[in-house]
Amino acid sequence: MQSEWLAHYLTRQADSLNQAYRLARQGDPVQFASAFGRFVQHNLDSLLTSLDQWSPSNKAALCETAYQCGLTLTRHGWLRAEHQPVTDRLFQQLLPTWLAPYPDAAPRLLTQLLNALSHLPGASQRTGLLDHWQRCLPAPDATPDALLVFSWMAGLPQYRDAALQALHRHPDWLEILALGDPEAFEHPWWQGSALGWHSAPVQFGASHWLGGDFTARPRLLIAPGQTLVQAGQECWHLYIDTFGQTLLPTASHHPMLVPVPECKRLPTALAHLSQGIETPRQCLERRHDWVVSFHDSYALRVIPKTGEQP
Amino acid sequence: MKGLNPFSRISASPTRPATGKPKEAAFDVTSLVNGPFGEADDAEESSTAPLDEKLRQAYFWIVNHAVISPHYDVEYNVSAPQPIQFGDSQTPLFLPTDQSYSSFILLPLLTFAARRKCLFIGGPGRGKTASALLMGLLGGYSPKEVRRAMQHGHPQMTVADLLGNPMPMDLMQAEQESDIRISWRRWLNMRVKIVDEYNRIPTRTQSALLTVMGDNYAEMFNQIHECPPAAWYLTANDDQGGGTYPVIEALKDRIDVVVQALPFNPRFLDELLLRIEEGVDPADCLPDALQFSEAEMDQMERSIRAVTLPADLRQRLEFFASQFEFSEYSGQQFEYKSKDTSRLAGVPRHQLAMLEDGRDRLADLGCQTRNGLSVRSLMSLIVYAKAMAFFRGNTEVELNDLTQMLPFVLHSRLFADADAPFFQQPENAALLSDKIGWLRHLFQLSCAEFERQGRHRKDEVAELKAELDEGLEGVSDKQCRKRLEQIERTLHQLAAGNKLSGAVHDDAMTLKYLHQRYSNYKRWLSSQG
Repeated sequence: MQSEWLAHYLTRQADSLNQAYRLARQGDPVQFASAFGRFVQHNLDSLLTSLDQWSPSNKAALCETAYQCGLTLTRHGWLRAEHQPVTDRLFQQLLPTWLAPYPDAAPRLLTQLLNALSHLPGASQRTGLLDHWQRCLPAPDATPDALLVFSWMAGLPQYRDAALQALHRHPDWLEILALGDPEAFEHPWWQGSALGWHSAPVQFGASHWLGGDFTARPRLLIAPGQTLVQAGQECWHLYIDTFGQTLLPTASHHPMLVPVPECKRLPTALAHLSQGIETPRQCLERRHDWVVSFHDSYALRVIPKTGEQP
Repeated sequence: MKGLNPFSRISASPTRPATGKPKEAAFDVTSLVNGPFGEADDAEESSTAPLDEKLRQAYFWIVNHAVISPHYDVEYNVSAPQPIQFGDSQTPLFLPTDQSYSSFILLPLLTFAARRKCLFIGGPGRGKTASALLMGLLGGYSPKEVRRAMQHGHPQMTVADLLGNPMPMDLMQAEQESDIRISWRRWLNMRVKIVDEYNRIPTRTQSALLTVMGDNYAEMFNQIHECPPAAWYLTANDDQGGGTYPVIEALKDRIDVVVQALPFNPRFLDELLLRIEEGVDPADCLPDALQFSEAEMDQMERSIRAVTLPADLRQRLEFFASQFEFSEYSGQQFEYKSKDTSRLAGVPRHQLAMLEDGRDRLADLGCQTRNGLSVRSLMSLIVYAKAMAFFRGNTEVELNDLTQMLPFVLHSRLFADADAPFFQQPENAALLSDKIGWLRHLFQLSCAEFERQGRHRKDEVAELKAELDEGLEGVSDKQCRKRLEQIERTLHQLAAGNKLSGAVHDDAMTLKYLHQRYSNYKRWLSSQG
């Protein structure tokens, strides 16, 4: 252990720390101990070593929060092989740099960042968020905005509108991330000046039996300003853009809810996509894309409208 | 160290999301900074949660962290569940389609909310005392306080052990009884009272307990100690008189619900192992946010009483209750045709059964029981049905609330007649030992009969009674005569078209009551000139 302060702290607080560990432990005890032990040795130690210049009370506050977070990380499988690089990077590289100037706010900032990361579905999305984060290193008062913007860009399109408003408040991030004109993001399939348009169709959903979202073939419904997907008894609000897609559960008894009419074939504009596509059931044309459901598939396909300029 | 206890975590999301309001597609951006790693802003949301939500949080905390109970025997469904048949007996297992509950935790919790009395029964080491202890913790007491206040029944337990002791000095110096001060036991002042193994308490001490349980006061040397309203938990290894002393009937009747501790499922041995290895006792970890203050308990009881019981459900309950007390050959006079009459006279049941030749003893639900329902049991049933509706976030009792609560309320109050033809049927034999299953089945049969008779569509007796309930003021002599004629006509129809059953008997008695009220009123009207 490199941090002498941490070694002291662990010895001094051994009783309560061990009790917290005992209460939190779940699953295979050997694996849990090994994973959490590694977290303390490699992640917590590394973080506290980097912040050794802080006052003991600030270090104790951060250590307490980080210890509890470590237990949660272990329970949630973030210390397994596929997530380990993200966790290592977070505690060994990002947090020491980011938190160093903010000793008083550090526990709160750590919790906020970890909670935001927990909403992302996989390691690659979390890596994406950390990439953006490391480049911008937001100040504490800008952290909520940064979480909105970077979570949206990492694959949570439901935060899109709020994130775009936040982007207007932080023009410096536009420059750092090479995003270009924020107005251009009004189009959901614009990826920024560096990457340009997203034109490839996006497929998602699939059968529940195959690990997908739907227990029955999905059906498209529309309400003012919303696209909904119904499968069996369940209904979702569809959020999709170039950064990702999310189905948020919703009530299926919206007063203005109308099913999208069934179609026999895809519209002429999509004729070039007809080959190799399953039998379409519904095709909903929206301002910036088409959403297609199928007779013989549990998946949905979204086809961006291409050729437009920001 | 603040926040290091994962047992203290309470789910931030609603425990019954569909309750009341439909699901909303709208999201809250602040949800992004909240999650499994704790509240970033240390907000104590749960302290402002509605009481029904807090009660459900307590239920789920106990189920998830404290009591290993994989039994979900209180089933709710939004659509018909598909049965999966097992074994030669083709026993169906139903997968509920709505949130369902474990009676062993739910019933004590409802007892806590409604401040009633609950008896845990079951073999030793099944968590009866542990569950009662948790209820004490919900009442805001520390584990130490609850453990110390728990009364452990034993054959030498005296009234003084239970209630308190007179001051020794006063005993010597007092000139009259009222001068003797009593050092009352502290448990009498608690809002959650626990009596462990109550069937081991000697009969005399049971009588003292009965006064505290029934009338909420304790008495010694002419001194009275008033107790606060409380939820009571009693435990017994056996409900059939297997304790050291037989439990006095009046004490048994004060108990509102009986919950059976179901056997431990060895598949969950790993959780026991964890507790042993880590020395964790979940009772020491109940989150503060789940404790109920005195004011909250008062409010919760008021809210439960405010839950409405719809008229159609009340009629079903009336119909059900009317089945059991009636016994045609127990009395000559109409009013005395009850099982209680023959019981008081010591006439054996089988003798009366031999006299019966008119009714179908297999179909008549009254033939399945040895007794009828007491008023107290009906009151308990209504309170628990309301508490169940409250727990599920509803303002009105549903039929399933009644169906699910009824077996636990009537468990030790409605007794099966093992000689009844119903139990001679091979498919019903198991219901003699499975009281919960039998009582639930009994209520379902009653509801089916209620519907078969079309009482949910037209109930003339109920209409006539409702007419009287509107009051007699302003009712003219002519109207009165008309109503009397209608009552007599209905009585004749009842007598002509039906065999004499419990429901018909109660309807006839109701009509006689209405007839008396109207005829007395008519006489009064005539006397006024």
